[in-house]
Amino acid sequence: MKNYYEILGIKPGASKDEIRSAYKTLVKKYHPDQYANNPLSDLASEKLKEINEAYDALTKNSTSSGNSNYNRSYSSSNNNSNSDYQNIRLLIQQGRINQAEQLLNQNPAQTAEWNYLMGVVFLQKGWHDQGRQYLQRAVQMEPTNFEYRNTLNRINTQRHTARNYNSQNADMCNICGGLICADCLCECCGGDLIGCC
Amino acid sequence: MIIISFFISYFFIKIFIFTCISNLYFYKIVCIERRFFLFGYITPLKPELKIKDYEEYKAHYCGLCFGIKKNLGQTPRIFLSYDILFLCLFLDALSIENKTTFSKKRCIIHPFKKRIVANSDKLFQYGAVLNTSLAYYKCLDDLNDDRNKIKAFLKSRYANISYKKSKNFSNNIDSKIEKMFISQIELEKDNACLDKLSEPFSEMLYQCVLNFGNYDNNTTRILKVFTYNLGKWVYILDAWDDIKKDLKNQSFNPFIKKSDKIDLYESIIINEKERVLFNLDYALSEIIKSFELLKLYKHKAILENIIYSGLFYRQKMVFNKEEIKNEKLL
Repeated sequence: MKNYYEILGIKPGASKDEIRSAYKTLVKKYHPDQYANNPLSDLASEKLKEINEAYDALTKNSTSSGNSNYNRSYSSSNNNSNSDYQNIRLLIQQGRINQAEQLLNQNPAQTAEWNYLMGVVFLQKGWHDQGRQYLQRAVQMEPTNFEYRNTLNRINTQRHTARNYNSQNADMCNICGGLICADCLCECCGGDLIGCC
Repeated sequence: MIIISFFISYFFIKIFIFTCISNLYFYKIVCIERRFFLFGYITPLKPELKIKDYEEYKAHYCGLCFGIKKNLGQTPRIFLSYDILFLCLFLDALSIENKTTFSKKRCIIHPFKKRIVANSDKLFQYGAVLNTSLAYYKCLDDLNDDRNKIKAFLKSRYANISYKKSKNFSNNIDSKIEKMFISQIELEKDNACLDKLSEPFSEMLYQCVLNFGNYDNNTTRILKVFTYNLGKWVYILDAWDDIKKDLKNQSFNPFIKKSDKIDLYESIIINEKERVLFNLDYALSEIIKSFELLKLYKHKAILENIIYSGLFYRQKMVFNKEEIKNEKLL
């Protein structure tokens, strides 16, 4: 029997709201989008599964476990790639980075997809500098490709993880300011949020 | 007979006085350069720490200092560094069985007030060995780089005294550090890319962590990513911090290209800033993500503070050196 409260990081006997908020922050933390291109993504999804299980058990609602079925696929958005690259994508998905890198190095090609795969391999390996250069080259060669652009954008947003941790100063002034802004916006559209003003 | 014994004792006293003076002299050198010694980048953000966590942090700092004294003597105490303290706390947090006790002690630097000191034989012996070996290799590195050869040479000799002693305790860790030092020099000669250059230091951190305890498969994988990115982050930040100094000394720095005859400090800063910031930020985000997957048994608040806020703040300080100097922050 696992201690579900410990998994969610709350005290035994916590209220439903507390469970819910703890669950929400944890899911945000271990969300697969956060761990894209990270060599530890499988461990993160395991952890997420555990959290989902704990949440389901605590809220006595075993039907809402659909959250844990995150599977990013590399091969979904392109149909025109040749079999070599298909193979390499499979290797990357399985986490066999060294083999993928070897295959890529064996037939160097100056196509966008080759650059993209090389970039992904380097990112997984931890060589972020090289990885980003290859990805940028891929985007330059094929600016219209959604997949390449998406990956590049994702690593550019992921780098702000630390910054986000250090800017969570939500004080009362911000809340009031936000409410007043929301009220103004509502009034513009004909509704009202704060009745007295 | 009396004359002979007088001469012998005179001789010994002279040696004693000489060592005292030389010790003081080295202490001065090292203290002045204390800020540049080892790296000292992995520190907590004090204003965000709770008092109890800060006290715990301080107790471990004193504990490490006493651990060095107990195992290796007085000499290497001046090399005490925050990075090793972080490693000690981190290793302690990863193991359940390691028990720490606390006691009150006086020491030379704080003779009037007793301080709380953490005691843990195994942990702080390991920390002491790591500290002196790393200090020694850092000195050797400076000897390669520095223009002021005499000072660097004296410093490395001084570190060597305690390094020899620490060899008795270390279970092969010193040979691993030596290996990384050699491969680092080779990579620098080859003018390798930034990712490759930072690898030996990461590898060494990994070995330092693995050598201490036994971890299961998943934890080892997480530790690999964690130490890889932490080492990378420290290496890049240190290199960026040293550009000005390295330009002056004409020593190696990954951001100074040998091909250009005249490298201007400003032009390097402008050209490379975006790239460096990306690398640091990305490494930091990977550090945080792998850290979140680890299971910690102790020191959670301190380590979270260091990883989430301390590193980020330190990075900010390096990038806004001039501004922060004027602001005089806490």
